[in-house]
Amino acid sequence: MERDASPLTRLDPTRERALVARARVDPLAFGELYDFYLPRIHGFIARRLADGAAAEDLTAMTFERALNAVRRDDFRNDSFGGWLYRVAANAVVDHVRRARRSVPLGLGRRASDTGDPDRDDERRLGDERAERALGAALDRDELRRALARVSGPHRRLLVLRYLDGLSTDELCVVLGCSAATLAVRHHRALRAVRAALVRETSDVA
Amino acid sequence: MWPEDEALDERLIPFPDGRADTDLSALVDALAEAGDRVRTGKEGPAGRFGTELRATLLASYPATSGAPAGPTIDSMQVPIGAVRWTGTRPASATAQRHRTRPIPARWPALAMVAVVALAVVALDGRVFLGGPEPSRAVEAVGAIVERDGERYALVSGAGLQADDLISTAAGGRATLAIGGGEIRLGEAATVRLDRVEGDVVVAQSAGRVWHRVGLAVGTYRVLTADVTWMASGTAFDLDRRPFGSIGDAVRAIGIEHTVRVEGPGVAIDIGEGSIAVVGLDPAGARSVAVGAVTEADLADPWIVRHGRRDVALGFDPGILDGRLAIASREPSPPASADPFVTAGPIEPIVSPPSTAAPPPEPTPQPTATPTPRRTATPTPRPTPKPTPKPTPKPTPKPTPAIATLDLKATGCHGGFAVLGWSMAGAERFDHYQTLRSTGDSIAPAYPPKPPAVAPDRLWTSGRDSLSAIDADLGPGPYVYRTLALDGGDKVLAASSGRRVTVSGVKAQGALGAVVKGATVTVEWAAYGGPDACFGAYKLALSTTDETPSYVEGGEAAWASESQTSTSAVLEALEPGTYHLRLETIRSIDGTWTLVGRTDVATVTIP
Repeated sequence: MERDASPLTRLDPTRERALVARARVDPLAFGELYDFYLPRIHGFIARRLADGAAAEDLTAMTFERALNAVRRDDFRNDSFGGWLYRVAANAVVDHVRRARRSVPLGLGRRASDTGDPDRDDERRLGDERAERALGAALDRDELRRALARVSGPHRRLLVLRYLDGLSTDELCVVLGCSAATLAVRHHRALRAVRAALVRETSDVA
Repeated sequence: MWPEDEALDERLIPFPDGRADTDLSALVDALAEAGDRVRTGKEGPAGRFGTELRATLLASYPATSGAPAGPTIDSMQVPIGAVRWTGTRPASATAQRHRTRPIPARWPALAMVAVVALAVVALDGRVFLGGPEPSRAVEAVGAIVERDGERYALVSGAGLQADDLISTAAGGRATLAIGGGEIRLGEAATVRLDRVEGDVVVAQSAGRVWHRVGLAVGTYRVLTADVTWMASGTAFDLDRRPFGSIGDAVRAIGIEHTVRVEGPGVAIDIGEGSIAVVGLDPAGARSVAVGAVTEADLADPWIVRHGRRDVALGFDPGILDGRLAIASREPSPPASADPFVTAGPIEPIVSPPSTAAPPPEPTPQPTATPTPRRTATPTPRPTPKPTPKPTPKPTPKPTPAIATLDLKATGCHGGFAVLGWSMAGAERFDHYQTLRSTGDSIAPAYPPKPPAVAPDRLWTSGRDSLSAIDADLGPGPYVYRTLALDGGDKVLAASSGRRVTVSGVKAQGALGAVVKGATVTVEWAAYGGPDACFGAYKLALSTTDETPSYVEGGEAAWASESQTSTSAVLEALEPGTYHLRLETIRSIDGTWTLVGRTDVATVTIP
């Protein structure tokens, strides 16, 4: 049932770790990492921000931080990609938060996403645009509506997995959980979509 | 499942016997294909942005490392963390500055800046690479330094070296910067600097001295006769004075961390908040008494003054945490109060001094000259007489090395801590990083020294991003300190260390349930923990699962965001048996974390 969302677009983990270790002193190694991750990170950010210039700024900031990080000898070299996505995701959240005062009412985070009192959690700021992009690319209207009906955390996981194409270890870093927990969360998210799909179908009928 | 998940605990894999669910498989395919459609061909930035950014980033590497040396990447089998610096640290690691919102059009200019920075660093790397600070006098009033048999007036800024003997006159004082910390001499105090780099050794022969041990120091030792006081990253107060026939006595107050005391027949640890007196009988007998500091001890103006100075320098206040502001509003003890007498538990070896310690000869007021200058009277008088105290010269208030942040940390049930801090100044600000340690405290420095760590989830880049949650923690005590840093990871501001205790999931006891017809009324004891740890109550209900749980995927029949809620009513239930459990939860990173829960209650609706 499962499939890797991007089987041909991943660095071999061993090679990636070697590149990261080498990048402490070798610009060519960092260049290779940069070449691989630039389109992914830029795409990740651009799918969340309408402002192209801001997307470039945040992309640049992410790689600047990456450069500084890999050149420290205490950098935890286990999932460089996950680390990059996490920095990028935080940058998006911060950017959206900064821009909040100029966001018209109704375009911010939808309280009905979760139906749960997680108002203090802002991890999903900026995700709405990516969620809409994934929904728009779905073939079936009822599936699109079902995706919109599941809780925010479920939808976020699915967007990161299928729209952004994050690998398991990258998702674990971004979501801050173990692979086992991620597996359970992923399954729950799919189940939630399926349940919403059933409701959509019955509503239509 | 994903290939990487094959080794997972099967109990956590929600697919029995590995059988696939065709519905979910179709769902996955639909989502993946949609994602592929969005991503294809739309990933990279337009124009020259990517090329220019690449050039800029790679230009920041030192020129000497441009040609890769050693094995090729493809042949390397590099374990995590196996590569260490073997040569000069790359300049840009410290010289490069982040720009929160870099403008792509300026990349060429930034590249030039990076090249210039490289050249500057090559000329004098010590300036940028944070080499050891030279030992020097920060402040000196009525103080002298004796070097190579000659005596000089000690002046602010004067360099210090091993074997320097520093003395202060009555009414005098001196602050010496050693290894990133400070040695602060009160009046009539004398110390000899036996070693000032690496492992610092100071011999204290008279007077009261505040020892704030810096981070650049390995082991810090203070010698008082044959008794040695050893510490690392610590602050403590040592007061040595004569006590008639029993010889000198040394009173120590542990301000932060533990001080190890060793000598003939003496081997004790003085913890933070402890006070000890060691008698230095010339006959060789060593008496020791240890007790707890009193509020009067901590309200001593000397203690308060130096505690404040430490905080201003970014050090942890230790036992003085929360007392420095209060102390300033409370009346100070009489100036004549003998600090030895205030320590009740150590009376057996404490008595008022029978003779005053001979103060060193007062010296002329120090001049502004930044180097030691020979005094007019190179030798002290043989019989010191009471001399009028020199009028203390007003000295500028010490400028804090780094600004301070307020930090509030709350340890929670469920294995997480909630952090919130005050906003840093805008100048040069780039990001916040909160450090976590399982040790006693955390130095206000970046990168952190083990056991302190800098979790990624505690990094925020917006100046108004003033909170974070540290999750997935095991039960136990943790210390947090929030830093504001510039683009080169230089610390601009730091909070004090805050200690919290994180606990496991709280057992909230029994869930009471009363059935009346088709209605069930349930009651429970309120969570009762800090508001910061509380998100909501969820009442999980199941007719099949005997241990229902909302956070584990079950259904919730009722919810409340009010922590004071202690009951709920479920109406119009169908006949049958129901399993109920109340869970207290908190949202972290978009998912619910279990904070506490009650036992399961089972009811039957007739």
